[in-house]
Amino acid sequence: MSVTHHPVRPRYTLVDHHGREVTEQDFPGRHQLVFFGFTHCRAVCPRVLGLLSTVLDDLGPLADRIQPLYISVDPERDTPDVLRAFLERTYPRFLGLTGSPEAAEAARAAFRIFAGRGADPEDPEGYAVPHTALTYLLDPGAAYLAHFPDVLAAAEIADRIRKLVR
Amino acid sequence: MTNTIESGPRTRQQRNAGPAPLLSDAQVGHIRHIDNLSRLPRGDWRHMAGPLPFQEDFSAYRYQLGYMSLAMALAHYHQLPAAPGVFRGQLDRLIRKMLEPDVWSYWRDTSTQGGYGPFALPRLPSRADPVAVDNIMYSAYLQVMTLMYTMLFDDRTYEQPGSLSFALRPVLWGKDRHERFEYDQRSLNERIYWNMVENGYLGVACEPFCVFQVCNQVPILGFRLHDHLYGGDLAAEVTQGYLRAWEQFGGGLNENGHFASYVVQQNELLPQDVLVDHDTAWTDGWLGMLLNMWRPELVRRTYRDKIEHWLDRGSGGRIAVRGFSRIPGSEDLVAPGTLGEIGWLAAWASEMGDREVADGILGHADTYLNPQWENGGLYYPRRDETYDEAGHFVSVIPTVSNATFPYARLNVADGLRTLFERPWTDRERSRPALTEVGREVDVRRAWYHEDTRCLQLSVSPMHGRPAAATDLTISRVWDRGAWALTVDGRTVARGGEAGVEPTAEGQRLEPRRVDDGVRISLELRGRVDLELVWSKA
Repeated sequence: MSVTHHPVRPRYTLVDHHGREVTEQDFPGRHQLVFFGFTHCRAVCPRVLGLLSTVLDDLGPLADRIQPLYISVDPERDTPDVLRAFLERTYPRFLGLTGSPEAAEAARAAFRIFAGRGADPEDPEGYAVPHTALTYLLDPGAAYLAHFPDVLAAAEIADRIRKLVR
Repeated sequence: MTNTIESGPRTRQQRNAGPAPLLSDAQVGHIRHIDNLSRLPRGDWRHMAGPLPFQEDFSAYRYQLGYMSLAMALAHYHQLPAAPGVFRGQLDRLIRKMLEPDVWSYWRDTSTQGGYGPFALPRLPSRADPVAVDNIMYSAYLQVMTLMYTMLFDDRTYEQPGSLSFALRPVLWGKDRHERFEYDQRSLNERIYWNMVENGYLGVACEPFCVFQVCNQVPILGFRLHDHLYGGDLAAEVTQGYLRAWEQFGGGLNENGHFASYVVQQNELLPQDVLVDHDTAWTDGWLGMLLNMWRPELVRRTYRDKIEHWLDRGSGGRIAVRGFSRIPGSEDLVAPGTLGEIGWLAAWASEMGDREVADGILGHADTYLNPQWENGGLYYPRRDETYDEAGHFVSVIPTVSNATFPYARLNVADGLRTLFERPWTDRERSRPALTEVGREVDVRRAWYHEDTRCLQLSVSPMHGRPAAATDLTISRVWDRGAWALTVDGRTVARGGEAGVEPTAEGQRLEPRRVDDGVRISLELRGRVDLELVWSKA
């Protein structure tokens, strides 16, 4: 058996923050910029969502060809309403996606995102969901194009996107 | 036992100011022994068989081959950089041995897990592909061996699709049953990277659910070499993620300041990740020697106090080890010393440039561990007892004899760190060098001095032989201007646009041009020093 290599198969069936069911095929003609996280996140998500918002601002009109998505790794707390309130307030470019725990887990696994559940020292009643802070760029056919670690600066990410979104 | 002609390894700065390193008998003996092992036919694992079955302990072939390769790469990089002819075939043969089913087919059973360490862990379906998921204790060594080979020799063999194939075709399985998994060094690297990502950069498990710090330093070196060869920033990304992921486990150190060993990951039988940790000599030594690549400040801070904890200082500067650690939960299987502590600690000391400790341990080995010479190679026979009747530490596992002692004897201060930070480029690989040499010859010096445009070589008959005849090929000789070749101070040939002109004294050496180099025939009855010097440009 020869191993055919597909690092990421970006497939999902989730619900957006308006309550509509969506799959990766529902953004025809647009690239998708996908980041996973959870709304209770205090450090990584705000930083990366802010970073990506800056990237999208930098891209100017090119950003119109990109659909930014924020997929929850904490579907139990991140209902569509919670996601919508969180994103529309601070990161209005992003569309939030969530779903059943099984659907969210399937999306996480498809993107090979790590997410665990651990204690939240600042919220003993609650929990945190440490997760991988990678951002994915999908092509208009929803195939994997590239990914960007959160250590990159906004300008670097924007430059890479410009080379990939033509 | 060491017949050091010049004192031990030097730093790069010292070397530039003086003559190139001249290897001792013991140093060339280690290189020869590893070369001898690399040439054994398939299935002949003499001197490499360890005390435990199932390739489970630290004498598993994968570790021996991995650290033999790393030791030889460091020897080439730091000691004999102008002698690819000594190392290229050897490192290639070690890679091919790594692809033998004897080395990796344990994974069909080990992948089922079930109970390593203090916990009952879930049983999993058997997985045959040894690099697809988990098993970083194999995959990362193969990754580094192939990328390092490309870096050192600019040989693209392992870039070719299918060049890293894992094939099982036992006769007794029948005609239609066989398994084959095909990779190359880039797809292997990518596979390991995504396993690392999927695990939140904590690391990739060795056996399922068990993420060890030691084995996860190896892919970091692999990513660094991959970045160097192909571009990208995987090493920076992974190391930053690694630091974050280990924060919740004390940042990689335990509360006693020793290196933390491993994390058992959450699973259906274990509600959360658990750090399994004891103060262990093998973790300190092994991790210290590797982690110095990218966390040198932490390692330096840890070194002096922690290594001393494990040393048993004897008379005459000889040093053994004490306070042996055992594989957690496996005490019945492991006798003291069988985790190769003495070798890991010696290798760590060598990386720290602490020759007093490294040579002290090697001195103990030369006194009490029964050093043997075979076909010009130096080794220490396996011994399963911990102490002899006089109370001296005498345990030797094959990894110590074949890999970590050679590593300790041939490494230099910050040797692995330097290789990590400054992998070779075309600049190093295009220098004049010894590319072919007879098997019965030991190469003791091979250094090209950029400033004086001089290639220095010293060769001698294989240890234990009074004489040897050999052809030597020096490559990358032409298009650098006129040159002169001396043997033991006497000019034997000159070269220029007209080709090779032997002197009267040099006729018997038959100097002649071959491709981009020059070849001579030598009869050795002791050490011979050669210098090839180009006129100033």
